[in-house]
Amino acid sequence: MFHILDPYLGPAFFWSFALISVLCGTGLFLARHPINGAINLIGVMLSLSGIYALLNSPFLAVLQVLVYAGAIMMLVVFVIMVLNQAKDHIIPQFDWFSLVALPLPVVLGFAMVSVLTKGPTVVVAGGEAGRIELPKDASNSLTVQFRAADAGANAVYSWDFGDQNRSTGREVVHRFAKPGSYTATLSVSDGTPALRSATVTVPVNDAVRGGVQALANSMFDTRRSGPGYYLLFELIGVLLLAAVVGAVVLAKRNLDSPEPPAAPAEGHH
Amino acid sequence: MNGIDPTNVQVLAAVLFALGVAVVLTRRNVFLLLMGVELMLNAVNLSFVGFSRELSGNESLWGQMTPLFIIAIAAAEACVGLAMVICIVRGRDTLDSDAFADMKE
Amino acid sequence: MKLTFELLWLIPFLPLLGAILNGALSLGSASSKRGPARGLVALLAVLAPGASFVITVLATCKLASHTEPGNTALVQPLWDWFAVAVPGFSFKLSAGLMFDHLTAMMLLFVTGIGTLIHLYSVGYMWEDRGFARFMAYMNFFMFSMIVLVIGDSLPMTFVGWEGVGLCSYLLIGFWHQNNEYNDAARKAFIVNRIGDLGFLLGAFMLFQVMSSNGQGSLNYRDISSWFQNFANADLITSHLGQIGAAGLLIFFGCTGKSAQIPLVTWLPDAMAGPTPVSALIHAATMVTSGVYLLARLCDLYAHATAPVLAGLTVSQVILLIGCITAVWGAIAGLLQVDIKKALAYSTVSQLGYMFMAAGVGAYDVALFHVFTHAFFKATLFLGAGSVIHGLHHEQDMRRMGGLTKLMPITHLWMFWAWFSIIGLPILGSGSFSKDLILDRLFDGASWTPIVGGVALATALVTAIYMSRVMYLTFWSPSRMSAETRAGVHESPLIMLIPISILGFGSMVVGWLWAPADFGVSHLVDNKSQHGIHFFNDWLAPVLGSAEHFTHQLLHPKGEGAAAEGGLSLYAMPALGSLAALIGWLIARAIWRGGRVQGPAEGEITGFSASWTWFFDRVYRVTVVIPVQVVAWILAWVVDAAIGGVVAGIAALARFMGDGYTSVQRPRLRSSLALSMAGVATLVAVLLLQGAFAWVVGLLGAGVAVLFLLLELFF
Repeated sequence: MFHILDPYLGPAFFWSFALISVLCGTGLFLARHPINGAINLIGVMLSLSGIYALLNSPFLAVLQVLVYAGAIMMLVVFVIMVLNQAKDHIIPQFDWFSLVALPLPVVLGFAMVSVLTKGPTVVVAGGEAGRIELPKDASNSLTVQFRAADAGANAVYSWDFGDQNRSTGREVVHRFAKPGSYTATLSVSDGTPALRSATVTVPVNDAVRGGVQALANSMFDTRRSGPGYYLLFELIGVLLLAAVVGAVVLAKRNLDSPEPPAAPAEGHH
Repeated sequence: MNGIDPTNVQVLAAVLFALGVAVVLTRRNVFLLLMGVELMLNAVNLSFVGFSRELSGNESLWGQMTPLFIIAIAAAEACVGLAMVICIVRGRDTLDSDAFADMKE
Repeated sequence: MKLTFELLWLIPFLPLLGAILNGALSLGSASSKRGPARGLVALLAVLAPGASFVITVLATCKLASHTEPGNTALVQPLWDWFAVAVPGFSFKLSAGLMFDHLTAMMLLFVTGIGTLIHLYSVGYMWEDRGFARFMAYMNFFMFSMIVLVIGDSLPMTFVGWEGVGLCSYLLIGFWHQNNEYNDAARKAFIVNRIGDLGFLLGAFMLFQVMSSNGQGSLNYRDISSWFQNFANADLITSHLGQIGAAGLLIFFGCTGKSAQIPLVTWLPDAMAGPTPVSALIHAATMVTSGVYLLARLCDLYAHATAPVLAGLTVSQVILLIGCITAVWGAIAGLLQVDIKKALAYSTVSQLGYMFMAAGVGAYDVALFHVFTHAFFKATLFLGAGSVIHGLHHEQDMRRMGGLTKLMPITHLWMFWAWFSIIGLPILGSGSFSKDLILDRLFDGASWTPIVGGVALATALVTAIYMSRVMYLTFWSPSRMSAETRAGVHESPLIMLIPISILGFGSMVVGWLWAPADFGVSHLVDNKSQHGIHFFNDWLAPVLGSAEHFTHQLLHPKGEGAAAEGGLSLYAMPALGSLAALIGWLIARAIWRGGRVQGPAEGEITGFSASWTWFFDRVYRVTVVIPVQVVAWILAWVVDAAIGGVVAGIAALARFMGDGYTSVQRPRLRSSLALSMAGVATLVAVLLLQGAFAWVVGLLGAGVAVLFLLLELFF
């Protein structure tokens, strides 16, 4: 009986994570000291990891925690602490240029959001009296939410989910017993004798996509995908290795400093 | 567990991206600058994951592959970026990005 | 019939492996003082072709064990080379190896003699700093030559064809500190390349002809079966001009590789290379690849019966070219003072004989001469190398003489090679093959007996100049300085063993095909058939059809078939031996006393002294000078024009760059902000429509401009 809550759990988690990430992002923006910023950034990354998990990408979620929140941010924090003696308190938090530049990200964000929210996310299926509005993620769970377009005050909406279950109402939530492809039919009667109906095919699939197994298959199954991803991943590995070597070389070099560095980075630990 | 509007995911990604841009553009500390870049990369990742979910079956995995690579490359980028920061900071004794304003000369 | 033989690929691969390993050793030791481990290099270098030889013998045994009639071949497909399929045209080429009777015969002596010469090289080049490099080149040459012979299609052969040309270039210029040698190497390469163009064009044309009924292929078995197919007779008749042109073009390629007129000039200069190279590449194997190609495409030449050049058919052109080259090479050989040059011209002349035989459709005879010539000419070159080695790099015959006692073993085997090349009977393989050529020439129709007469006269000249070489080197009083004479030594065993084997070979291999057998076959089993026909019986599956066709063409009434048998069987050996004997006596009368002018002051020597100067002059006027004029135009006029364009673009870029720097901000964040503004504007304009896009876009652009102004003025 708690399944009735399922459709609302996801959005609830999503919104909390989204709120945390935006708050932490703002914290990064306003941070006085880089270390505060780093901690805020870790917060963003952890909440993003949660969102990935919500979006059926558990492998990426784990990787986000491991690599981003773990490795990369630890590196950043470590370097900040090593270089702490660099006199950064003289850098103002914001200056006049910040004020000039601030409208730009605002405009950019506004532009992107308006692009994203401009088009309707409606699947149109039916005549003018009945429009079925299917949630886009209908296929991601056994539980599917159906919502029909408004067909007037007198309209009666009746659903046939294709698994011999029926329901009425403009918004209904139905849980399919097992995965498969179902043909759902919406019949709309707006008081006149004629019924209008629309049909929608609902692929129902509860497999968690992006699981480690599936991702590994896709990446290493050379029969299906050719050596492409596998090779690419090897290349990335080489790139990482080169980056590490390059970083060590760079950090150990005395660039532009006539005197030997008083405190080389590795000397502190 | 579902019912998340994909549009919202994209909007969140856009907001985070804009925040990253704001950090990069307004802050003078090189560490914050780098972290702003990381935030932008994360926003892009989120966008990819959000879109990949709209695909079905294996195509969804292809959508998730890109963030995988981005994460790996971001690690490399952080590695080299921080090394460069160390390098520059040792030479100039400051973390102020405006002090590095000699690219033109 | 095709059989598979899984080890076939090893025959070319092993020398390639040797070349790679020796190349690695050579490169690896480039900076070390001691040089590479010579023993290891020598072992690799000799074992690789040796193992190829063993596998060739195995393959030959397998081939010989299948006695069904028809053209049997061992094949091994390797990989699909390329495939073209467009509407109206499709072509697929597979790289593959083919080992038929012709390949077997060629490979046996290429790998066999090649191995011996590698062994000889170990002794000859041991002291040289570039020993490993030399051996790597030699092994790579073996690889290329084997690919040339074992390839199952014209493109595969072309790979080997180019490979041997490259090796020839590398080995002629092996001592690259000497600029004259480098010039010689370049000359060989460029002249060969000119011939290669003919090869390619001919192959394309042949393919086009065969494509006329949709059976276009460059595979040898396809080519011969296409020409032998009676269903294609009308097609061949209607394409005679093209077939003749294809044959002529391919023959032009052969003249390049086999140093025939007009592309003869490179071979005498090629003697700049180390002597084993001259023996292996420029006497025994590479220069005979032209004859091999003609024999391989014998069906094409047999059917090219239309006049293509000055009223002559391709075969007649080949016959005439061969004849002129033979005469010219023999006379030039008479005038040389450098022992290797004399042998080089002798090679040119002998190759002329081979082409003469091919010109009358006697491909088996031509190949037989290739085979015997490989033995005796390799012996002569190795002997000459031994002499040069013993005399500390003295090549001028005017400063030799009286070496018989000082180098007895070298002399012994050079004697038998000489015996063979001038055509003395029974113990000289050259007499068997040369007399067969003469026999076929006199057997031919219309004016070919005249060519035969010229060839006989050339045999006389051959005897004179080869005897001259022997007299000046061995059988005349010594003209060496005292200290040179004191330093003369017989060569080490590792050089003498190959000479001995090859010299012995040049005594006996003629008996593989001895029509005039002096009664031997009667003694053995009293057969009614005259002579021993092992060699041509072996090649008959490949060449028989074409030769039969040519024979019917030349003797439509069935005459001439009686040539074998009776007294006429002994006519040519008798005439040939007589010519050899007379030539020898003439040479003896002139050079017995070693009377030859010493090196005169101001006398032209070196490469310009060669008898190729006529062709060199002609090429200079017709090719080199026009090319130089074109090069001058390119260098000055075109270069200036292109340079102007490039400089203009550079100036434009610099101008734009300078302009941009005034906009560019030193502050990192402003650069970023500008690009972000650009991105925002772009996103808005591309993704939003209507007034909204304009508003957002203008907003972005406005912010960007605002930035710029603030940055510029504060």
